[in-house]
Amino acid sequence: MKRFAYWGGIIVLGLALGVGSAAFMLRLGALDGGYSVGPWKTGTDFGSANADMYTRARVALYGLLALDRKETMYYTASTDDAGKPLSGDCTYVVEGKDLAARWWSVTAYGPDSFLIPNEANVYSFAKTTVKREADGHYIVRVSADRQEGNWLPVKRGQSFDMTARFYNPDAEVSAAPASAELPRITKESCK
Amino acid sequence: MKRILTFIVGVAIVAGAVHVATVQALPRVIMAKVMSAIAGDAEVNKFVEMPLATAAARRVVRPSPDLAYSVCILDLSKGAVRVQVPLTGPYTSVALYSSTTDNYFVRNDREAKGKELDVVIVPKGAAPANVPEGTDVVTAPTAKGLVLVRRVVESAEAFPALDEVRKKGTCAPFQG
Repeated sequence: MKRFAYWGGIIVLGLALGVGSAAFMLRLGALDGGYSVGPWKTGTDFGSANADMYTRARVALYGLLALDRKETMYYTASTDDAGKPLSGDCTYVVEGKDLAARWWSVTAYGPDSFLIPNEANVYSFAKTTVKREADGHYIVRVSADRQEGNWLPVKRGQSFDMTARFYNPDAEVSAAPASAELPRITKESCK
Repeated sequence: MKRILTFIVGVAIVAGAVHVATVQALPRVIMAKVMSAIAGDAEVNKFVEMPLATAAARRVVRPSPDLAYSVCILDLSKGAVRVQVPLTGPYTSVALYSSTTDNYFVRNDREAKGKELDVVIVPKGAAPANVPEGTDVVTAPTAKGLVLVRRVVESAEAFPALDEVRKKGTCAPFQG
């Protein structure tokens, strides 16, 4: 009986520690693969055969079926420029220029990594859909409340994040991910 | 004393093995789940046209709402498969994924040699024969996997015409 408890203890404790430490490692850093531009974070090995086992598992969990960086680069922001977590209780101004890619989009996701249900059925803004100012730059308001001009809806009472996708990024961006220009994210007001 | 040491080393060995096994198994398990979710009772080696992603799409995390996806579940156990994909602007790509989630091949419309992307996918160890000129030949690292075609949808109005073109794409067994 004592013997059973001894070996059983080894196995149970080992299992718990093994699964627990795996979950810890996979949650650690979720999709921030190493490079950042303000609050926007990216890695360079998503979807690539060179990815280590942690990156591969994180991609399977948080960004399955990604493309490699010559084809697409993904930058995800879960905070504003001040480093505060993005919240559906606040309105943010997202302002920037065209991303350095053949085609680009910025999409909002809920805490479950799925698109956020909203009355306008709008989930993203993109190179070909965003309304621009006279000089070509854009101003988008991210908010649970309907906004004039460009509006990216999110849900009150829950956190969200945004992923910017560069389809066929310019060579400078894939060579030096930290040099990319991404939109600023500024908190305007909160409820 | 010895018993305590054995206990600690034993726990460390079990924990290490479980840790690595969990992290390594996860992509395979998730990929298998996703493949069966997407395919449902659909045939293998045949394109399925996915509707545009909305908040109701909950099969694959972080879908892009601006892309029209076509998916072909690959099974190369009986031989090669050929994929022929007509192009639409402003972006079309064909990406191949192994059963461990690796993206082992991708081509986009800018790299296409003609009016379509044309790829023959061959199982490991098999030699492709009589491949038409201008066709890419790719060896798959795993027999199971999937083909994902992405097309950028510029606006809601552009979708119906694009949808007509994408239905002309084919994914089918290739007899070399």
